[in-house]
Amino acid sequence: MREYKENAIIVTSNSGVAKSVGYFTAKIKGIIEVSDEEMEGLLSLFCLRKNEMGMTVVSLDKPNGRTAFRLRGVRGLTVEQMVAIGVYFLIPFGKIRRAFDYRGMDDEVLDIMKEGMRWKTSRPPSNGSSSRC
Amino acid sequence: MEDKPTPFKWKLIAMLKRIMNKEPTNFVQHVYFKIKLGEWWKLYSRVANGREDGMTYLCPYKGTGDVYLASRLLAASIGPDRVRESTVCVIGESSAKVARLFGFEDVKSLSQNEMDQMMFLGDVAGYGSLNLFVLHPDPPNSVTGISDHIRNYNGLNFLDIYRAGIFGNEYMRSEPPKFLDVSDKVREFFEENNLIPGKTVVIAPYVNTLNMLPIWFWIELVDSLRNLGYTVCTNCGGENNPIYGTVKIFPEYYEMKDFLEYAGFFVASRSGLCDVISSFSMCKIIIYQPHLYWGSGNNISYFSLNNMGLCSDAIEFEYQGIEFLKLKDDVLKLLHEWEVTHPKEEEEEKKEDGSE
Repeated sequence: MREYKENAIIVTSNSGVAKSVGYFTAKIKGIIEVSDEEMEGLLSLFCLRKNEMGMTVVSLDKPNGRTAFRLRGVRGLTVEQMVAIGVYFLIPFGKIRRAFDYRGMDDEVLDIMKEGMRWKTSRPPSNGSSSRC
Repeated sequence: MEDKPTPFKWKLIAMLKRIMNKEPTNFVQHVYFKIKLGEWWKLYSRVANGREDGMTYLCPYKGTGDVYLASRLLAASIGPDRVRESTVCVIGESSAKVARLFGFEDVKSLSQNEMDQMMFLGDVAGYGSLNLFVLHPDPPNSVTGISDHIRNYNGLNFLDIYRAGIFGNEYMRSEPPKFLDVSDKVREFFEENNLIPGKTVVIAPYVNTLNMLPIWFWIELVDSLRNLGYTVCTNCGGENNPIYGTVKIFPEYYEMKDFLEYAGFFVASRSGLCDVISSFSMCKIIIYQPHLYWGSGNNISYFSLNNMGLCSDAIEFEYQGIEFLKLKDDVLKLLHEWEVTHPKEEEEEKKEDGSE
């Protein structure tokens, strides 16, 4: 949100992300949920048209061929650092210190919250899951 | 002079581009990209097809240092048998020579445009499905890399980015290449050109990626070196001229070790050549350009040969602002210090004889 202020639209194939975005920020313009297949197609199109698409892919392993996840933990590099600096170019890097409060019982949202907490350290996530758009 | 008429092919392409820009409808886009994909596929078939073991390695950036590290780590990663069998694609013949140092026999030298096309195809169709492996952590002209800005964060250097970012192993060990024995040829060259073995300084003023030091600095340095009794060579190829008062040399990479070790001294602006010569045993003075930032750090913290572990005996330093005269004095001082602390074998023998 520091990068895109109030005009960002989040496209995701993860329903947990769609449900939990509201707990992280109130500034986004909209959320579009797509299927995995549609996401693959969109990413292929993005690779073809690159900058003309006006899209930022927030992931360490997508689009196909991105291998930044291999740097996770190298010299203590965290996923938070990689996404902030590598994807959004938020330089200088400042760690997010705000605590996110969720008291509901939705498993998908809880998963995202837990994953978020894990990514703030350099330790790779144990289930090997990847970030999504 | 009369202008040549534009060939029909280019007129047609220009017309299609105009239509594309005016009417980016699905149909026009479809036809355009079908043609493009056809071209890329044809190139891919020529470069990578017919391989039974599958993998084709791409070096999408032509920096000498990048190709050196990529080839060195790849050779360590796949082992000598697969090195001989693997296809490596690089940009330009100079990069191909670097890759061949490590024993790669099937090295294909592509143009920048051809490499871009291979990368486009990989981006769109998927590198895995095409059995392509990219030897760069953040390939230019591709959306796959995000590590450019991460450089230097937490002390992440050039070698870390290659070892971990490409091969997924930050502790990976690798060996320098084996250089050929051309000592007779080198000796002959020294005699022909009146160069003094062990008291010759090879300077490398020309660089591709990073900034160059002003030529007058090199002229002043050469002047001072000659006054101190050194003979000087300039390593330069192509259209570059040797610095006044020096002998022009441009040895092949595999001849470099014998040449430089016989000469005794190497002074250079940081360039990819410094990676190639990092394992040699002689005085290596590497000048780093200031005010160049890589991520959160500067040039020397990212590219230092000693920090990367490519060697431990390089004399590396950064000059300040535009203090080139001070830089010259510093180089001469360091050269002298090295000479005092590393006496030649003959001198040592003489000392020993005297003491007996």
